[in-house]
Amino acid sequence: MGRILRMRYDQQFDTLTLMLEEYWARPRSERPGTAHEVDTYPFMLDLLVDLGTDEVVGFCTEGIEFSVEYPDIVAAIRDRPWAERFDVPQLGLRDATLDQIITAIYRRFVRREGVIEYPTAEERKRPLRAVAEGKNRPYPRR
Amino acid sequence: MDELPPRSLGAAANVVEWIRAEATLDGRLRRIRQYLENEGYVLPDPPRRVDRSEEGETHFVRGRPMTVVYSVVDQGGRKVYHYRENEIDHIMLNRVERDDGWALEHLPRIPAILRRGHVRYVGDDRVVYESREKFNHPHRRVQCVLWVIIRRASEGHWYVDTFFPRYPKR
Repeated sequence: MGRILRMRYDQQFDTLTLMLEEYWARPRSERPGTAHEVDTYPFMLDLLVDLGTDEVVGFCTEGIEFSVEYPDIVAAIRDRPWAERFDVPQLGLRDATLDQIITAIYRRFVRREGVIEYPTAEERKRPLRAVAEGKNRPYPRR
Repeated sequence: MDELPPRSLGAAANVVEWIRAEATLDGRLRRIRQYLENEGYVLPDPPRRVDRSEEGETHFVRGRPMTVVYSVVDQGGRKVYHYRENEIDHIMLNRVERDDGWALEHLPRIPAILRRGHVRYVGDDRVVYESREKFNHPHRRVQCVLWVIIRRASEGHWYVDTFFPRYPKR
C-alpha cells in the first residue's frame, strides 16, 4: 500500500495536479508551502517540493496541455522512473507507479473511457424526436 | 457553502472546490483573497508601467473568451496579453491548490520578468522566462526564482499562461 495521492484534472485549462493527502492534512504551521522542481522531467511534469522538509509532496503540469503532451509525459517518466508507488482512491488505484497513474487519468478524463455520458437535464426535458414528430402513435386498429 | 475557507475550520477540505463554488470571477477572487489572508499572504496591487489601452477587450484562447487586463512587449518583441480569467481561474487557483500561493505576492513582477528575465526555453508556441532576482518566501529562509510561461494561442496572440516559484536546489 502506497501513500495516498489526491488528484484534480482541470478540463478547462487542461492541467493536472497530484498532491499527497498527508501533506494537505497537516496543520498550517507544519505546511510551509511548496515550490516547483523542474529538472527531473523538464517541461513535462513538475515536482512540488515542501519548502520546510525538501520532500516531494506532489506533481503537476505547468504551461503545457496535458491532453496533448500526455505521450511525452509518460515517456519522460518511463525514461526516469519514479521509485515510489501511490494509492489514488479517486481512480481506484492501489500501489500504482506514477506513469500508471498518469495513464489512468488520461484514459478517464481525456479519453473519457468508462464514463457514462448522461443527457443533461435540459436534454431530458425535451421529448424524444419520434414523439415530437408524432411517429410513436399506437398501431392502427385493424 | 460556508463563507469561511475550509482550512480555517480545521479540515483538510478541498479549498479549490470552496473557491469554485462561487459563480462569478469577482466572487472567486474574493474567496482566493480571503484564503490567502487566512494563510498569512496578501494579494498585491496590479503592476504599473504596463499597457492598459486594451483593458476590458475580449480575446479568445482556444475558443474561450478572455478579458484583457494589460499587455507587455517582452524582450523578444512579442506583445503578450495578461487575461483576467486566466489569472484568477488558472494561475491563482493552481497556486492555491499546489500550496505555492505565497508566490502570488509577487504576481505584479510578471511584466518585469518578461522584459528582463532569463529566457529558459523558446519553442514555436511557448517561451519560458525566469526572474533574474530571487524572492524570499514570506515565512521561511528560502529564496526562489519565479517562472513565467507565455504561450501563443491558436488565434495567434501571445498570453501569460502561468506563473510559479521554482525550487532553489535539489
